[in-house]
Amino acid sequence: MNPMRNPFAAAAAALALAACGPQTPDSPEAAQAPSASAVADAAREAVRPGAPGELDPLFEQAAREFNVPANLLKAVSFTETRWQMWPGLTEFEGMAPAYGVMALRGEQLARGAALAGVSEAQARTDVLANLRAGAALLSAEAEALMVDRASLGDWAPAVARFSGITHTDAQAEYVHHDVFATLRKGVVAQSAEGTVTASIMPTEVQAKFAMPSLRALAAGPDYAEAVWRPSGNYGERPAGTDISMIIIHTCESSYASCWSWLVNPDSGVSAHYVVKEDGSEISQLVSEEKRGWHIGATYDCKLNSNVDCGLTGTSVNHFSVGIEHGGSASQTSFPAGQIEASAKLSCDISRDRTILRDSYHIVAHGKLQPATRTDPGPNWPWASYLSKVQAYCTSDIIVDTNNANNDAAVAKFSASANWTKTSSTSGSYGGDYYYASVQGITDTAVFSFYLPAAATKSIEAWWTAGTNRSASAPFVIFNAAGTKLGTVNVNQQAGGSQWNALGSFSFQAGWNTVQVSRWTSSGTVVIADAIRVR
Amino acid sequence: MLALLGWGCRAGTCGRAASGPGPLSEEERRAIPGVIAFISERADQKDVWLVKPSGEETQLTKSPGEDDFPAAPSPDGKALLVIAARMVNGFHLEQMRLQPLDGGEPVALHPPRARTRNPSWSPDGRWLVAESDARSFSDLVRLEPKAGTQEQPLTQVKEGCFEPAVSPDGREVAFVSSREGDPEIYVMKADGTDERRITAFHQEDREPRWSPDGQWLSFISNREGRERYFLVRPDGTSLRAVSGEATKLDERELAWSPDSKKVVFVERLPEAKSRLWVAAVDGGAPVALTDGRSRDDAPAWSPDGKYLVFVAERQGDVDLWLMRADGSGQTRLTTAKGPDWLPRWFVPR
Repeated sequence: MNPMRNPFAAAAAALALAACGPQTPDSPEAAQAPSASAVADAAREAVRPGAPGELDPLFEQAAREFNVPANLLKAVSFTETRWQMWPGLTEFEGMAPAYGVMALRGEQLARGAALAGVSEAQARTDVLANLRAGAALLSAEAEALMVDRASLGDWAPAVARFSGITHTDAQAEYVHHDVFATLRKGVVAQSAEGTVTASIMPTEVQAKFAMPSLRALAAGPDYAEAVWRPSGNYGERPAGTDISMIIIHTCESSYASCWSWLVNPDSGVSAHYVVKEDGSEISQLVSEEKRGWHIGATYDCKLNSNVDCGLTGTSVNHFSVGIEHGGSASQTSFPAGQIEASAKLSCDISRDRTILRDSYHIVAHGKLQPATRTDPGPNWPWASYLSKVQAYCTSDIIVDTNNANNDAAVAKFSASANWTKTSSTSGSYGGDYYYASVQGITDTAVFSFYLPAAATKSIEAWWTAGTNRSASAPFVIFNAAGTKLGTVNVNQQAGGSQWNALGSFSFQAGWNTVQVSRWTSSGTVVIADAIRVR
Repeated sequence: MLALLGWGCRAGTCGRAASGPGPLSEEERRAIPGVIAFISERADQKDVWLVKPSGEETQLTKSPGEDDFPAAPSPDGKALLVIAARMVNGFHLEQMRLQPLDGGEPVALHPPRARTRNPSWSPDGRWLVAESDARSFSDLVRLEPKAGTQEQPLTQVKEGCFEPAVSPDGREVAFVSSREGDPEIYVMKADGTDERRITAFHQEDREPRWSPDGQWLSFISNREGRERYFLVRPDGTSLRAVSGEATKLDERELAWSPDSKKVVFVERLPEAKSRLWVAAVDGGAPVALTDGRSRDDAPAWSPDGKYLVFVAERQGDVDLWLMRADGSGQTRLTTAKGPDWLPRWFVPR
């Protein structure tokens, strides 16, 4: 997929595909393809069960009724919820939960419902009622600010007030980089069937609103790619604390709303980091050395069907680092850019703090607070997220005999039919391995690994030991040009179920190989199980 | 969706439209053995309730301001281990308690602490192994099911040990350890000695569970880029994926049949739906038990292996449902408002 692909082309492609009959549903994991554009992801997210089918006509209806530009209503809704119906989850004490495609919360929801002549319950759960309440609120703000309704850019101050954000810089970011950027770029969302559910055509528009402050933004003290927006809401970690966990959260609000709330001294909450919906920005709010206030409430498990959540629960602020993500635990998928940016950040934290990169140490807020939190929700892509964290943090390439286990971009294995796959001996790498009888023929098992640039790497090999193994199994190392770099004979009767160093070699850019040869004299079989390139 | 429905489950032959007329009859339900402990959220706090397959419910724990989770029934069928969780001065505390089924007072095994979970009983019911943070982030301890018991540490690994499972003969404990930098499955003797490593791979291998006959261990792994169940002999040989080519998405919540011949597990589907599958341990294509049109989760076998209880979000609420082990006769078992979940099915004495 072209990362720069046009959203409208994407919609057209989806429509064309839909005409070819039923599609296998996209896996939530598949939505995390690294090259997918944030916009395309947003499109995929837009339809969820019980949620809006066709949104465009509803936006049009609500916008017409309250004399609000339809595209503006859509852009605000997209910024807040990616056009999904939010069920009203709580993330921060003191911040009322957000409902519907407009993410209306608290008094704002009550006021909007009254202006639109619907009940609060309807405004929370009914798509059209929620949109009408949102449109009525925007209209009321425009009225109060005497906005020229015919000029899209003039609506910016009303949008800022609608957001509920009080932090000046966050308001500017929200208006310019979220709502009006969405208007300029355009978005198309389609259903699983390929029909367009909501769309914004790109519009040339400038928000008439103060630009975000031009002072240079400092890099985060622990993560240079983050913007440093220090929060005063933190404490000291207990002396001698071993920072051992990373906690994954969702904000239940947009990124700008999230970080501005967490730096607000009145909120009494914080997190170390907040990752923007499309991954284009990360804020660091609290130094990793300090104790952030990101866990502390109780949790509601009913959306979290996992058994784990029932048996867990601890207050872990003192030994964890918290990462918030713009978005909601109710999301059906997370934008690929956000997952990538977050995984890179988790890698950095885990490397600096020596935190293990596994699901016992990189943990959902909901898992540890089994009384009232569900975030980041059932659709956070844990398997691929953890793989990405590990991949960012290691330059090792491991080539396993089972290609299903390999990262196909950098590792592959092949062997002729004369090699037999088995898992009959314990301690194999990844669960199975190949063996072949010793013979004076050229019939190698080939471990291939890709290097983007020439490099000297050390090679290690893994085998299952046994008495019927060759005492001098030849591992032959070739560079990408097919030039033999060396042969290492190993005793496969010993050294089983561990990495054994074969030596260091100078490889070329491209696909280099380590081949296990059958051409040896002693023993009855040679084993090919896995190699590691470091 | 059609592509998924095609697998192991021809249209009209499984799930809601399954063979056999409609829900289970009263007569059939009354003949099903055992009782099911579960969490109910019908009150403000989470409590443990018991329900018979006939639908008769009784409340087992009731402690306002505290959530109770059913852990593991005692092998003698007289009590249930309950994890009680509450907030005290902003700290979350957990306590393992032995709750007699006759309504007697619960026995707290230790003072409340931040982490005590995943207990696994010895077959004779004289001891159990659990995760504890008494001495570390998470290690395994062996303790007796009585008040003020001494906890004997079985592991001492800074990176953490998790999810103990005592073997059916009580001689060994399978568990997870992150000492290599990522979770791997290990087996040790029940006294903590003679560890052996079962899996080796640079991704996550977790959730070891013995087959009731002790011949297999199941575990879940993301080694193929998704969460997937594998079977392996307790010596580390004969490893293979449970679902073959049948499932495409993440799997979760595997449960062994009492006769060790089958496993049932959940496949996560798009849009927060999920589907139950059953797979024969000696091979063959897995069969879908539910149709994937709603969220079906957390299956547990009846003690005779003829029925399954599972959690389903249908008809607007999360409830326990019963069905025959072939997927037919799907019947709503609990009806109270508020979620009912985490079923544990056993025979009380």
